[in-house]
Amino acid sequence: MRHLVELIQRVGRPLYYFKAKHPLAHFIAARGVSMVVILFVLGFAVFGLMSLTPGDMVDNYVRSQMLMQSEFRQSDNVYSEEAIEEVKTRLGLNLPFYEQYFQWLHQVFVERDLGRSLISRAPILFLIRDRMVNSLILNLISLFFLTIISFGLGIYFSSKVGTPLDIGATFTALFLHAFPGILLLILLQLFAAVSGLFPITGYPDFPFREAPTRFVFSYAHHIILPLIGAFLSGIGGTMRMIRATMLDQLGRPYITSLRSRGVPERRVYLAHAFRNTLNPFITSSANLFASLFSGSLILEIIFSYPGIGRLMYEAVRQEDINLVLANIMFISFLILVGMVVADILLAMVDPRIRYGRQ
Amino acid sequence: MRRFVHRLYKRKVALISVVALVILYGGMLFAELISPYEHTTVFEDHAYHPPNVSMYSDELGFRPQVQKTALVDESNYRYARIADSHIPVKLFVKGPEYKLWGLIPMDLHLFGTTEPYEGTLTWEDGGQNYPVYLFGADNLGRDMFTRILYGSRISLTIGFIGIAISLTLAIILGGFAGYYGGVTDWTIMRIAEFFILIPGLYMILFLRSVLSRDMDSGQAFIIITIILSLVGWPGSARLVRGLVHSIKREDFITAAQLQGVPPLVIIFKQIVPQMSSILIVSITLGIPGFILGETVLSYLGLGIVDPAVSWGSLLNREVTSLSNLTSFPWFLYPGLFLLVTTLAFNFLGDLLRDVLDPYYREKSG
Amino acid sequence: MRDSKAMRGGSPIIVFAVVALVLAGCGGSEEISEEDAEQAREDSRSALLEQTTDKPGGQGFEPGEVGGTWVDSINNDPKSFNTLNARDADTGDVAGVFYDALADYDPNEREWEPNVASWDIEVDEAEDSLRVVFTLRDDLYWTTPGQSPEEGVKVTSDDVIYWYEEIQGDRRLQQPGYSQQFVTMPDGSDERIRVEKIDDRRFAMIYPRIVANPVLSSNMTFGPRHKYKPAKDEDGVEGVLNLYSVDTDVTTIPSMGPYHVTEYSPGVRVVLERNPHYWDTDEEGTSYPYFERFVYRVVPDRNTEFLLFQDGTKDSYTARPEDLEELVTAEDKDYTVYNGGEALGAGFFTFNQNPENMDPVVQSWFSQTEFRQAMSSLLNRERIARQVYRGLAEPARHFFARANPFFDEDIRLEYTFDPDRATELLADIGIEQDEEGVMRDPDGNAVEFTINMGAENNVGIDTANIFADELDKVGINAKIRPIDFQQLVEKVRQTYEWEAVLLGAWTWYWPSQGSNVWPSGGDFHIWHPLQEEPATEWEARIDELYNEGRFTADEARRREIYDEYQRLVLEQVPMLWTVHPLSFAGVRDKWNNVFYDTLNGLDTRYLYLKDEFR
Repeated sequence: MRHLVELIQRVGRPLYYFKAKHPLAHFIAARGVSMVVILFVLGFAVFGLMSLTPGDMVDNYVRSQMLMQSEFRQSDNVYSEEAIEEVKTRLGLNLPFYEQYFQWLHQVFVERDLGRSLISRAPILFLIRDRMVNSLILNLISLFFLTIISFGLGIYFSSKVGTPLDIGATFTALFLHAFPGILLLILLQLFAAVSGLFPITGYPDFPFREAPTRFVFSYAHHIILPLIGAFLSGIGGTMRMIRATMLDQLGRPYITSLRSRGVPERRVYLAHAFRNTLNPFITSSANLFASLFSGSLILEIIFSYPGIGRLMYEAVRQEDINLVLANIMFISFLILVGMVVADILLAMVDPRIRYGRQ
Repeated sequence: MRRFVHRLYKRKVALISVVALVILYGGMLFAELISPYEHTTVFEDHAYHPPNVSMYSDELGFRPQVQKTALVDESNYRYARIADSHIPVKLFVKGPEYKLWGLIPMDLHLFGTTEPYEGTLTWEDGGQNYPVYLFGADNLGRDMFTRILYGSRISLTIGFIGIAISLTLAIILGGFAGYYGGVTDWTIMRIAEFFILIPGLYMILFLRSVLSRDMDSGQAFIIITIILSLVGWPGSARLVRGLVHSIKREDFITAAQLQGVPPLVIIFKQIVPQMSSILIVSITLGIPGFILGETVLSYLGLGIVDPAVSWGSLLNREVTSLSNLTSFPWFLYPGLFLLVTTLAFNFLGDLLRDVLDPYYREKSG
Repeated sequence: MRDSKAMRGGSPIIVFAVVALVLAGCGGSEEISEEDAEQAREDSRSALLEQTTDKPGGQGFEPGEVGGTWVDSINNDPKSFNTLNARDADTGDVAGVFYDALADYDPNEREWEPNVASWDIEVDEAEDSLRVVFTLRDDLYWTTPGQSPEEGVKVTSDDVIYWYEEIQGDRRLQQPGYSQQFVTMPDGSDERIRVEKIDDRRFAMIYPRIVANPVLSSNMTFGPRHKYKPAKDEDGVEGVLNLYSVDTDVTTIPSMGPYHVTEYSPGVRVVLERNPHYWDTDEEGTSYPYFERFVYRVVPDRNTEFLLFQDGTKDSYTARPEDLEELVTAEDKDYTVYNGGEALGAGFFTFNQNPENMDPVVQSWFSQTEFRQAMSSLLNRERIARQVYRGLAEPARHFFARANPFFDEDIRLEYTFDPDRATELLADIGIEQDEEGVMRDPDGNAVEFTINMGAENNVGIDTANIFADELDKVGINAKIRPIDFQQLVEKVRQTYEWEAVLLGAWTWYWPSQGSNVWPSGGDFHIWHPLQEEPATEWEARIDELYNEGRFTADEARRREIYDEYQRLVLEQVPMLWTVHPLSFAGVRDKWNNVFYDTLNGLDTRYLYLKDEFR
């Protein structure tokens, strides 16, 4: 027993040393390891959940074909039980879910192949690539604007607390927040149609390679309304959050003492109170980023934006497990990176937080 | 409490909010009594009927009344008023039978008409009375006002349930993580990250296919909300943890620790009040989030459907078609209710924040 | 000070509420009498329909000029360019452009017409066998975009035979056509229809017994053997299925159909270009279609589609009932709205008569013919048409679709809406109202049941609500319970735990179709599937008629059989068809040769740009 402890200590010592010497590097390394573990467990959970749902992809498919209006000029759709079993075996759906998962892992990491979608049989990389880029662009742009503007407004209105301006702003923020997102998008689209100022869809109707320069301008024109939509439905919440945190800080004794020492009001706001509001905001930015990914589905549908949401939604409904898994892994990876970045930023702006040190 | 009441009187917005919430929740509790009909009562010839209550006519003078109408255009459901056919709206009239709170059998309704709808039978004789549409009728001639009241049972409760569960978990877990740090912190935060990664919308899809075996969509939705809030704590937990982290080194916490106060008590008694405004804001912002979440599901065809009814589904059903939006604007009433609820909760939240905030000083002017 | 600010904060709510009330209350300022309203209702309905155009298709196409781009939309991305993987309508539309069927059915004439092949049917009465000898056209080529026929590959009977034997005939590929390769022999066994090559252009389908409609079961589309064979030889079934997935360079896919695919941008669009060497030409020798390009935009949302049509991006739009008024009353419109008439299909209610997993009491009501007749008499089809489809639908009164060669206008449903008759019918089987107005069967059980339908089916939910409301008036309590579509299918197909369901429309052109629905042993004989022996006399009779009809070649005898068949189904009402919605399509006026009806659809093949739009 004593030897074991000694052994662990001996093995652990370089790690401790590393940690003490390079806290940031150690932090990132540790998070990297934990990220891998989390992704592994997540994949396991996805397979497990999928196996819990009654029926699988083949059943779903056969059933919906049965009830679908049959092709007028063709013969009936008839599927025998054996034929269904055969397809399941071919797709590996008859195996227990953990075996399916390990098969998938083997395929991805050993054979370096993301595989093909079970339904369309297209390579998953092809399906995901362009759409992921599109989604990422849309989400990063809207995150950027949302952050900048809500910070600006939140701080500004916190300095005007109690004035009619602030009440008006509060009212607007809440109105936007309680406004159904779908209705907002539909109204924006209607506005585009009636005014003719903006296109009805959110993406150019020709591909990038046809005319790259024209595409960029056209994209910028098309993306404005979806961005406004995402912005309006998000601004209410974030602005309220920032205003509230600012007020919290401004009420603290340290602000009072700063004020009493004659520190200029501007400095009180920007250098002290503001710095402390960054903490909750950075934390929730990562969450916001995560929610933007799943929240943009409706936007993608209404504005015909070729993002990852539509692909994912369909894949989940059809239980196309290969596609679902690859999608979740990609999105999760991006979100995790976002969270690590948030944590690092957090430590930079808030000197009280240091990695792992008590 | 006295401070609360005192403040409430001093701040009219908050007072109005409280009154609005009392009315809304009262309406929810006494939905069967206040609404003139049941949410499934169909008036055959009054599909898409506009609101028909007016306060004055030459025939009856000043009093609440409705005027009979007849359909003149089937394709867009336009109605024309029929001359000299005003019917007074009376209080406490007989209507469809119901059981108040599922217990007391009654057939009394707060308001309604006493003239028969078609033929000569009134409610008492098994027929129907002429409909009063305070907020118009839906596509089958069901009263929107009634449906909104019945819908509030789901819409006004899910937000509460959802927020209560997820926030409690968030405070406890996030609080522990931030308070203890080290291994506890690390473990809780990794678990939180795991839950954040589960994509919510797809989780709902999955739960729906597992759960809703023999439940109606309303019950299924409440259960889904509960499950979602059980896995939805990490977002706020990360927030709480960050705040606790930065607060716990303050002197008064150290003092409490030295006195041997248990951590959970410190978290709830000392630290939570410090974060009151941000917590209240997340509660008050979270409630409409839950109600609206359901419109998204309805849009995807997974939401609440008959016989269950909620504001989200009411709002969604007809509004997603552009022509309906322009022809029948009264379908937006559920949205108005949603808006009022949100605003009321938020203004009340503002007040609570002031009451709870230990540093709050009454600002002059 | 504070108070006044606070009041300002509250006032917008009030303003909003007042505005909303005013907005909502201002409809219908005219005051009229009830009689006038009746008249106005009639007028407005016909007025709306008058603004649409009736122009049924099938004939009257003029020769046109090549040119122009036609823009249409699909709701989802195509999943594959391989028809074998085409499992949804959108993928079918896109992947279908490469191929062409042997025969085509003309629903106006109700006859088969030669398409890429013509045929001769040789009947051998003595042997009780039948041969269909197909002859392919001489001008069919597999080409990729830009290839001339000389550079392409000629289509031969080897292509068809390979497809029949190795693709459709390979059970592992799960093709719906597989089961059609078999014929049920008089002794109940299944025997395969053989195919035989005669020469490069001719091949024969050899039936082991005489069937009534051999062209139906022989008809098929087929892919290029020179692409599918190597794929199958190398990787087997997987190789075949992986062929032409969406990541393929679309310009390498050979086509013998009217179009080549020249571009696919995921989530954005699919571009087709006309095949200038397509075999089908107008009288002046110009190949159909006339469009230079055909663009499918991927647009998942109906409203977006509608807006895209209104702003001129899209060339055609199939209108929902609620869109119609806006479409026809728009000012300066550059499109015409065509009235295609009643849709062929109609949604239907059906009652579970399967004793398995059913409450025996409920099952015993449903099994009684009078009960189903009474239900049919309580289904207010006119009201459904009026309220759910805004008057733009016709009650369903027939069993066969209009395109069916054996459709007879006079064989119609007798049990239309008539509550008095329904109560009489119910009284005949001892179901009567008690003093509280509740319908009870002779054992005193209150008559009540649950109706399931798909939760996404809003139209269905409204339809069922109207049905339930009519039932409620006579004292029958029907509960509406929308459920997940997958779950609905599972109930109907596997667990049989359902009482009544409302399902979407199925349409068949031929009475011999629906082989898994109408015979009592069928796995989709919804109300009581997979019966070993027919449970009722009428089902036994249906089985007989169905089978006899399939194998009777004599036209007059077949008509007799199918007349009885239709009458029997309409008398027993196992399915309560609801309404046939009217179909409307808007098409831009810059196109000529526009014909639209529900039988032919909008045949884009003949459209060409008017001179002034070139």
